[in-house]
Amino acid sequence: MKLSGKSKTSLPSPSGEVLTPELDEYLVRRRSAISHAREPMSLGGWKYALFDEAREIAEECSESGWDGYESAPISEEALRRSLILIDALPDFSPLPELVPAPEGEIAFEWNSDNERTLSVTPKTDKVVYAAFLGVNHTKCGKVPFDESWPWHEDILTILSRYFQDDESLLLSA
Amino acid sequence: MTNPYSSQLDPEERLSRFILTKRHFSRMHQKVKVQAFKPHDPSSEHPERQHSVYRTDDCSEEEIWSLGDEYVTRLRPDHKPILGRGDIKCKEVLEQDLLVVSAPVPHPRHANIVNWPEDESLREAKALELSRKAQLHLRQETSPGI
Repeated sequence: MKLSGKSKTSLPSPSGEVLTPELDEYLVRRRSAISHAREPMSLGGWKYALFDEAREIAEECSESGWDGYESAPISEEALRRSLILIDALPDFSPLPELVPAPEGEIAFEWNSDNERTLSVTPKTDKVVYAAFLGVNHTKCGKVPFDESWPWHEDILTILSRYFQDDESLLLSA
Repeated sequence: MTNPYSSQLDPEERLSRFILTKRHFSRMHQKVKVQAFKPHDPSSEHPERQHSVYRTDDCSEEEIWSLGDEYVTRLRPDHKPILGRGDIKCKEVLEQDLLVVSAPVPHPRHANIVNWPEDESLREAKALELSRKAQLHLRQETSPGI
C-alpha cells in the first residue's frame, strides 16, 4: 500500500485550486512526521492498528444482517477503500473510530470532548460526510473519491479546524 | 398518556433503537454512533428506506429488553443478542423532517422511521443528529470487554 505522495511545498488540490493557507500551513508543518506513520506501535505507528481494525470489521461484517437488521455485507472493495483512506490520513489527524455502515462500508467517526462529531462514509466513487460543529453549525456534503488524493480538502479543513487539538482525540504513544 | 398501540404517535413518546453490534456505540463517550441511525439501502423486500425502532413509552427496563429479546434476537437465525439501545423522542425524529410510522409486525410497538432523503449526505447528517440526541443504554450483562 503506497503512501500518498506529498511534497514539502504547497500542493494544489485535484481540482487545481490552491489549498487554503490555513490547511496548507498545517500540512507543511506536519509533513515531516508522515514517515513515522509506519513505525512500530511503540514509536507511534498508529496506522497499523487502524489497518488491523478495518480488517477485523470487514471479517465481522462479511455477511448481510451483521447489525441485526438488514445491513449489507462489507465487501473486499469496501475494505480496500477504507485501507486507502487510513493510509492517506494526514499525520495531524486525530485518531478516528472505524464504524461499519449499514450500506456495507467502513465509516470513520470523530467525537470531540466538546460534542463535535464528524462522520465520513466512503462509497464507490465518492465520500459522504456530515459534521456537527456547534449550535447552528453543521456541515454535510459529498466529494469525489480519488485514490491519488483520498482525503478531500473540505474534510481535512473540518478535521484541522475543529478536531485537531482535542486532547481526547490525540494519538497516544 | 401515550397509547403505544395507536397508529398515531405522540411527539413526546420514547422510541428505542436496539443495538446488536459493539461497533455502534462508544462506552468512552457514552454515545450511540452515527451509523446506528442510518437506514439501510432499499431492497426488493423493503423498497422504501426505513429504520426500525420500538415504541417503549410506559415500559419498564425489563420490558424493553424483553421486547428486543423476543422480537429482534429470537427472530434472527443467529440469535444475535441485544447489547444496548439508543433512546430518542419521537419529536426529535420529526425535527429532522423524518416520519415515524407504526408498523405493528412483528409487534404492536414496532415502528419505522421513514421519509429519508435521497441525498446521501443529508441522510448522513440526519443520522448524525439522531445519534447526538439519543441516550445510550447498555445492557447490564454486556461483557466489559465490549
